[in-house]
Amino acid sequence: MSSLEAGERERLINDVVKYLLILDQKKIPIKKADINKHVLKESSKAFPHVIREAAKRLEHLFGISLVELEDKHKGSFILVNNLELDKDSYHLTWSEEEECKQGLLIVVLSIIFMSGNVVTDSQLWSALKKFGVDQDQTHEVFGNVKKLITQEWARQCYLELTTLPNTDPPIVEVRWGQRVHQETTKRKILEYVSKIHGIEDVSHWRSQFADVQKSERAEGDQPTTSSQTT
Amino acid sequence: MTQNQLYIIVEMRRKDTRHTMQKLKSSHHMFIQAFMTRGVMNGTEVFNLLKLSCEKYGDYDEASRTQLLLDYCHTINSNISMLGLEIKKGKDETNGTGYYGLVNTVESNITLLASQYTENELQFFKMLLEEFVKSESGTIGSIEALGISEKIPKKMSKTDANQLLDRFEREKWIGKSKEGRMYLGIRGVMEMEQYIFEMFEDFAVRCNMCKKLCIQGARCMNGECETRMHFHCAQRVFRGKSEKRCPECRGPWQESSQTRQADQVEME
Repeated sequence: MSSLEAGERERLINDVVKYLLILDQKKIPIKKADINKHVLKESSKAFPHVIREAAKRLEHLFGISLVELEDKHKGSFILVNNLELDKDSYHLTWSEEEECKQGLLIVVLSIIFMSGNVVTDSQLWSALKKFGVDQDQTHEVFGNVKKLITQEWARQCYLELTTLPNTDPPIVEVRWGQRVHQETTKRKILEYVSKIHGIEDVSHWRSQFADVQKSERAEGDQPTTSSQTT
Repeated sequence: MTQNQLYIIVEMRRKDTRHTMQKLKSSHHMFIQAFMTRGVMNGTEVFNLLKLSCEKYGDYDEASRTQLLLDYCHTINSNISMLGLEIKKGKDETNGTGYYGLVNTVESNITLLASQYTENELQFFKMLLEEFVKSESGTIGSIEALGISEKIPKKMSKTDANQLLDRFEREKWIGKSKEGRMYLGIRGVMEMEQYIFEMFEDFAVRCNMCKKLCIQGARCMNGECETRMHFHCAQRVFRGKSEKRCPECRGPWQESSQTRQADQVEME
């Protein structure tokens, strides 16, 4: 960074901030390689410093956290809202199509969670059939659901799809994607499921409730980061 | 325009160093996040947002809300100016309604659209812009608008073009009158002003009164005089005057029902 003057440094940080804001709209994780290619270019060496400052700026100006993903998505970033979004904060608006998709997503996430955090794709499709959603038919609201689940949501890290090796026909396991852990909690999903069933007490769901408690204990042990969910 | 609204415009233009780099709170974040998703909001919506944000994360006093709005915009603007962003106030060219929007002040504003539209769709929009700016009335008919689908690099079906135009309208980039004529909407006017002055400098005109870009407006009826004013600006200038005279050449000024010969041909 010492080879860059202050003014140039500022410009790069601001350009990265804008780049992140614009690209995050697609909800696809933003790759370090792309940031270097399109924004930093010859100054790629400055990436660590620039990304750190850009993260600070996003927090300060917009209340948004920059989160680096892990494991197979390491080296890519998503933006997470620091503000708690509840039914009163209708300051954000989405299109009707978006809202419907979100509704379906919550259903899918619920199915996965209630089944012990993983389901096979065939189990998922069976469960969704009960909701009138079929992988082979174009849904009048959600459209091509197969594409939505296996491609769009997988790419956006809402779902994590893993094909099991040595299986024929191939078995695909579906889990929550890393983004989900940033945007909501197991407790919230359990509360949602309870509500639908008209049950007040979430501890009614023994194993799932134990899962919630275990996760919350684990999170409590970790040092708090700027990317807390709620 | 009330005294209050005039005050807001003057205040927002003045650089107020009190607010420079003041730390932003969650209420500010909520306020600006709404702009990021909605693009533009009218006066009522903005005050509702202000109330929501302040009640949730701070204090809200209905009586001083005008000053509070000013403070919020100033504080946020002084902080986000480094990104070339600004919360600006603009007016709808068809009715003079005030709107607030988050706009790019620096580079070509096309980049902001870039993430939400394909390259081909952007080309469509750029051509639409050109049509609006070059037209006499600042409006074009739907047939002309659809015709653009043939001129873009990758031809688009009329159905797709229609859908695209609907989307532009929904997001307030363009507007549509009762008669089905299309014009540059409030968001387009606010965001694209700089781009239009740069790209179409021979055609882009400033309103004689407010000095901002004027695409739809009334004009001097004197063929040689190019003076134009927004309808709502002209209303203010001629208030209480029995005769409407061009502020530049003193020639006769366009009455709302009158159109110059050029406009007549275009409308048919």
